[in-house]
Amino acid sequence: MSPLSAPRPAADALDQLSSLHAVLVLSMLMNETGDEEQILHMAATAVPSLARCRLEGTYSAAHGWRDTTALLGSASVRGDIVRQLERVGGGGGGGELSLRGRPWAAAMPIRSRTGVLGHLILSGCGPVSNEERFLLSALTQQCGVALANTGLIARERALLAHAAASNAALARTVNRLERSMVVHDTLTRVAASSEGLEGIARALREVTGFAVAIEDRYGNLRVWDGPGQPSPYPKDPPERRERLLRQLAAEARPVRDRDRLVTVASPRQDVLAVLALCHVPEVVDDIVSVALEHGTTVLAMKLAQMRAIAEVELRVRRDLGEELLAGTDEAGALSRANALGYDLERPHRVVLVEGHTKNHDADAFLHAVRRRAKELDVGTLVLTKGGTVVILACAKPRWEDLRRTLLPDLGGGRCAISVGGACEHWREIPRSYREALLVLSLQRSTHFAKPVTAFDDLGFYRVLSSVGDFSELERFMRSMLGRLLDYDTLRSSELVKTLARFLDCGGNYDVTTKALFIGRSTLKYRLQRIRDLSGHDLNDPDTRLNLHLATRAWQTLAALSAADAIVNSVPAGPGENAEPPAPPE
Amino acid sequence: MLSKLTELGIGGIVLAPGDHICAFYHGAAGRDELLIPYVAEGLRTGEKCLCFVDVADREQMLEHLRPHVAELDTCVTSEQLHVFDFQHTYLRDGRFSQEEMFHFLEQHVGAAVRDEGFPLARAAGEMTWALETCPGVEQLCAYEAKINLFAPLYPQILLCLYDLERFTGDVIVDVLKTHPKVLIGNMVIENPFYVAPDEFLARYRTGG
Repeated sequence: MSPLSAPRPAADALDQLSSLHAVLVLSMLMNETGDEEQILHMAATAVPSLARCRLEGTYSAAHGWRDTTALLGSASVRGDIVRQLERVGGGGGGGELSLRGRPWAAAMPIRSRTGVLGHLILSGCGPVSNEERFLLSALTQQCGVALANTGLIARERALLAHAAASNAALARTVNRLERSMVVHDTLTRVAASSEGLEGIARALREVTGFAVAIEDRYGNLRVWDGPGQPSPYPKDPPERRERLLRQLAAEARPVRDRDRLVTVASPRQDVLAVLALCHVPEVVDDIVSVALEHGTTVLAMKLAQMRAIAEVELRVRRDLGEELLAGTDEAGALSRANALGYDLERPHRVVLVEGHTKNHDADAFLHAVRRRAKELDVGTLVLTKGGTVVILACAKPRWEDLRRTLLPDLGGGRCAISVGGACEHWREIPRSYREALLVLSLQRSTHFAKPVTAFDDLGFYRVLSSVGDFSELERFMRSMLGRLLDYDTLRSSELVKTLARFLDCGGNYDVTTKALFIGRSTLKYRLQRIRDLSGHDLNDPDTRLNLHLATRAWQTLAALSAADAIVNSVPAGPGENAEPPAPPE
Repeated sequence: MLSKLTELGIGGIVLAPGDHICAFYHGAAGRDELLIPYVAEGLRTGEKCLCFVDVADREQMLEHLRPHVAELDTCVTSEQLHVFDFQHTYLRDGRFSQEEMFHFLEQHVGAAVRDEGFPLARAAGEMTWALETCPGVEQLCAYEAKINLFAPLYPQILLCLYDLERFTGDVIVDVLKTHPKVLIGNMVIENPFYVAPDEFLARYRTGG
């Protein structure tokens, strides 16, 4: 049987039950509403349909006064009611009130488990009936429950929202930490590996997703990793580049430069590289900056490491070169050669390169010689000694090619090359060095003005220098030139030099004057003095030959003496032979 | 009258022909959540559907229905679906008249099931017209009580929609007293103690 077909109660009872049913449904609606003000409004405005009274207003600590009639528009009336509520309610209960102009008034408390949430202020011609009071009590109780539920739900939602926000923040932190770990692990792996700058660029692109450029301090591209490499690679004007470097040094963090994020790696004052993420949008995840800064640290470490290795290798090469030239420390030479992975067993020859750049920059000159020697596969043992650059050459190229490639590097400077004889074993290197020095000395002092001269091409000078005992040669030289040498020593004249050049020039006056940069009359005067002092007849063929041989012997002995002085000199100190640092490759 | 139950279209709820039910919602979106599936289900099952909405919402109502109803335009042109606004129904001539409204319902609902061959008519009325400042709107509850007399006359379902954000508690209580069934959420609550129309009207007239 359906409820509608059940015997129906009497009219009053039915009306009471219908109203109670309405209150319960209203309660469901209030609970469904979820808005405290709407709940209060719904309950308050339902009063006239449940009881013969009117609503004067609602009052709650949370929402103050609302739905008030004109009577309660007065602040004094409201204040009076609040005082009465405090008095009659004690802890917040309800009861009858005294309200000016109203025969009857009462406060219906809106309760929850936590206490009284507010009151409905009612008025009428007389007290409401018990049935009406019951309905109003049910209404306010359901209102209180709905308010309490709404408050709980609001607090729950706030807690959930807070928890969700905390979880989201935590998730972001975890995500950031995980990504930081990836950045850290990736770059640390590169730092610990033997991968060079290419490895750093590749790792940084992997963790950021942006193309990476590593440039030198002037803006020249050293390494690029990623798509979109510009060609030709753009280079800022020097003034702009310097401004950027100053800004980077001042800010010590990534700086935006057009569509790039840029940092500078400067492990030492004279070593510098610029690291750039390219094609970067205006707004990026801050992990990108973290990765860039980490990458900069790794790059600085790598540069310092490469620099240290280069310096050690240079020092070892220089020491090896010194020992091979001096021929003194066989064990040391072998151990250093092994450390460098250098094959000492190849044939060598010593090559001296004398010259300078336009600005007389010794370091630049050494770097140029080293770079060109490497390019031509001449050798990698290059050092400075005795004011010249020494190459321990393991190949025999066309030495004119070495000089031809060097000259543009010198920017208008000069360059001469002296090549010692070949040595099949590295123990013979000192001999080759002595020969190269002899060539150098002859280049300086004789008509051997050719800028590239090899010991093997010296001719009679080579025979003279190969004599085992120089005493007989010196006696012969003294017998022919003794008086002239003494005169030159006494008067600081150049009679022997003049005679040597005159004979080298085949007795031609014009050629000799040009070679000596003197006038014809001066030459004639000097030749007459030579005849007078020596008593030799320069027109006699035998005398002329002996004099020519004697002047060659004089030049050879002088050159050998100079070479021996260098070979036997104390090894160069750091001031002379300190290797300038090579730029990292 | 047919006694076959019909799907309301909301939460699997079924109703019987002759049911008069009220539903409460919050705002226009809440109304559409009730009204659109209710009308769509009626159209799907071949029933006559009558909607009474605010004049500003009429065209919008049709657009909201379109994704849910196959061949909506056909339903409109064949007059299976009528969407009326207040000005031409409840508040015709600028006032509310119970007699004229019942006459209107007779014309449309009665004709639908009697002459047009529809098995059932389902009507849905947005009751916010009663909040307008027009003569006769105070007769809302009396009208709702009388609907209970009209509902059994035809195979029809009458759904009255009340916006909780606009109606006050006293109206809601009276509305609850005059409806045998209430739809709250996806649940129908029967009111065994609803006040019969004559009793309600007697009290209503005496201000009881």
